[in-house]
Amino acid sequence: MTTRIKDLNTAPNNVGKYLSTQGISRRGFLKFCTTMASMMAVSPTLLPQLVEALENAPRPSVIWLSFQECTGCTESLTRAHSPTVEGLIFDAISLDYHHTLQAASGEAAELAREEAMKAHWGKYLLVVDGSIPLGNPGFSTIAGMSNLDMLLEAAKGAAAIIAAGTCAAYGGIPKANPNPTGAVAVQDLIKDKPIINVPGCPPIPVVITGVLAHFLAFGLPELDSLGRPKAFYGQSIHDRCYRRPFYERGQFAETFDDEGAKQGWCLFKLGCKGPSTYNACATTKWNQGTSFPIESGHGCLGCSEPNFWDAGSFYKALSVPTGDLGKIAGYALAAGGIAGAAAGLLAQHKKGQAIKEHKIVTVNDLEKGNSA
Amino acid sequence: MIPTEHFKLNAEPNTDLDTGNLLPVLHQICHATDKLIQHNSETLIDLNAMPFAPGEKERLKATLGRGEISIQLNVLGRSELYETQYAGVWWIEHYNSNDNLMAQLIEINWLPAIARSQAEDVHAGLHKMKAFFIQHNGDD
Repeated sequence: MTTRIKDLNTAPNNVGKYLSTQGISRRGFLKFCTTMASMMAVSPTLLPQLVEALENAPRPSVIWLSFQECTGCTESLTRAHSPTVEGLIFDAISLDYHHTLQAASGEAAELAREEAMKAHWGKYLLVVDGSIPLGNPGFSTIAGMSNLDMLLEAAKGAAAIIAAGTCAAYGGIPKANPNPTGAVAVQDLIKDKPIINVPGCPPIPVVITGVLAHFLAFGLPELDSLGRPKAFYGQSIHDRCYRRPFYERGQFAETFDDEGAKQGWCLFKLGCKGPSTYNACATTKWNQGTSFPIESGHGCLGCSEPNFWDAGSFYKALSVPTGDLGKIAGYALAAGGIAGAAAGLLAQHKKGQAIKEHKIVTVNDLEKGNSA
Repeated sequence: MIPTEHFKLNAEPNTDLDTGNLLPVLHQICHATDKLIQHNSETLIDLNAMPFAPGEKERLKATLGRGEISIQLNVLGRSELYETQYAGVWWIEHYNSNDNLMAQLIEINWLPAIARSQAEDVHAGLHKMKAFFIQHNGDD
């Protein structure tokens, strides 16, 4: 492993040159950047800047720590693992430690982590999935080292931390009541490093790669109040849902097998948490863009929000202020920032109104009780 | 500029599933085509960035139709590019090597930027050719 790290240090240290040595043509690089731009939800007008920034970006060392987790986040990321265009992001980084993926095990694996940390101290990117148990250090250890100690040690030399998945970002399911292990999130323990939360149970694979690409090209992304990149978590599922027009018309499925459900009406009354959930599922979708839960007929569970597991029944409706969005026309223009000059001005106005009227809903405040 | 009336939404929705996003996108294409002619300025529209109900993208595709030229790239998986019936309006689909659709775009341009030979690749090709001749002469 020492040799490997030495090799990596002598490899071209920027992304463009490194990919070129791997036989990727300029046209291939453009395709990679175009796909990344689409994944990152950045405006296509920024594509030339993205190409330039990615080309000259240094290849960062990445150390990935897995704590109290189900490996779903890693599984999500590597599900379609093959030399795909989006997979090129893993050539653009130097993944020096990931105990699920690396061939080395035991002391050799830990040595790789220590050497990578030493070689790139202050510069490496730390990715964490899983929550950290504080109840008893023995609840979760790696090579005899508690998750807490490993996180604190690795965080010291990190340039930034990505908390991948709801467990690392907010505690997730391990933190769910009664939280038997005393699980906490990364941001509860680390206060002196930039932390990017990429929640989701699991996070959308292209959102993870998109965040990595954004970090490489432009540095830290703009974050919302919960530490999530606005590019992916800036709008609610509800705002981007193709079933939104039914909500505006008051057309709801009342059961999973009624006529409304068959017609594809809004699932709000069946407990959909789309109005209070911020994520990119409705546009990025899952399984190579096939669909997302609402498209498959089930409401959103709200898995990218803190405490989603304890937020009451998945099948109990939230109560959300609707506002007068001008029905379909208003909805159509919600995408107007992208959809053109003519639609854009009106869209901005409507969107501004919509954002004002759509407060973040907390379940405690707004549950309708048993009326659903 | 293509008059908006010219767009014939010949694939009318047969369902209530309609986000209403089709017409704004068509308007954007109109403005972008005008911009291409007037200012020689290209536009790229990312179709993954906006919500479409099932079937709506197909309606957009049908509305734009197919024109005279198709291009297939084979780099990191295939990419399909074709000019729609509206010259200068290109439909672009990038697939990965598992043949999963990764990006779907409309580019309003004289030729999609990715289809042009790239300067870096041309330099690399020239270098390779020269190396061939050196090798060839060496063999002689």
